[in-house]
Amino acid sequence: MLNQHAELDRMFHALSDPSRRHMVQRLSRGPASVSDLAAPLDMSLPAVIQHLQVLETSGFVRSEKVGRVRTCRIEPAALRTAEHWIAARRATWERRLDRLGDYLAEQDDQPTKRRNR
Amino acid sequence: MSERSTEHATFVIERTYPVSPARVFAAWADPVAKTRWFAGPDEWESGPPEFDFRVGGRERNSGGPPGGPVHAFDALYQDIVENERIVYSYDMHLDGTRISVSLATVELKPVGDGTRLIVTEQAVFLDGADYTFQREQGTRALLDSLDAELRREPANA
Repeated sequence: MLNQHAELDRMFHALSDPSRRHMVQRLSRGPASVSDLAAPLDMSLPAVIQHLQVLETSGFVRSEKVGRVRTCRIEPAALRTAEHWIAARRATWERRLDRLGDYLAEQDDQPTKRRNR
Repeated sequence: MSERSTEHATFVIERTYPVSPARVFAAWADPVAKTRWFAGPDEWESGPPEFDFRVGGRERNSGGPPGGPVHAFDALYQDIVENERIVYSYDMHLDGTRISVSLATVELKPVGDGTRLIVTEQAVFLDGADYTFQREQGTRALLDSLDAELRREPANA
């Protein structure tokens, strides 16, 4: 449990910054070079690299230098546990059951559709 | 991804709705009603659904975000007790790859004037699923749970 919390702490810290969230979002669509990641962000390359280091420490992202280009990708291991599967499936159910609640409430607002008068 | 793996999971979600079990059951049993809440988010594009709500009947639907992966849901109703219980097995495909097989049990219990709904899902998740969408969902779910947790904590903690 403790380990899991430490892992979550690092992940939440990594995601606590809008630039880093932007980078994770970008990488979730596929690998990118550091300059690709930096392009839409209004910050210096060294600042981008610092953010990347936080993401790498968190386990979200890993990078690899080939020649002169450092390519970053989402690290599946960080997010590939049963906990995350469950979180995703639970989230689907939570949203679905919220919609069911909304639907039932709407029906309540329409007395003509009520089954028991 | 060629790596084969299985991960088993069981989870339970409960809700209480201020309407009778018959009303809640109808929202599961009626095809028009069910499309109103069961399928994916409104912005998703979806194919024509198939819905045969009886023991041995199938339900199929598929859809996904525009330009994103196609999620296909294929269910077989195993047990139906009107106003009380629905049990179905289903699998999920993402872009044609089976990513999970599940048994879902939906129980409806009257509480006062309302209904306690209990969903139990028992699932096997297949092959580690290095799928962007799942990762995003998982991450979003984490952020949602963080948000909920922070709301529960007193501001001066």
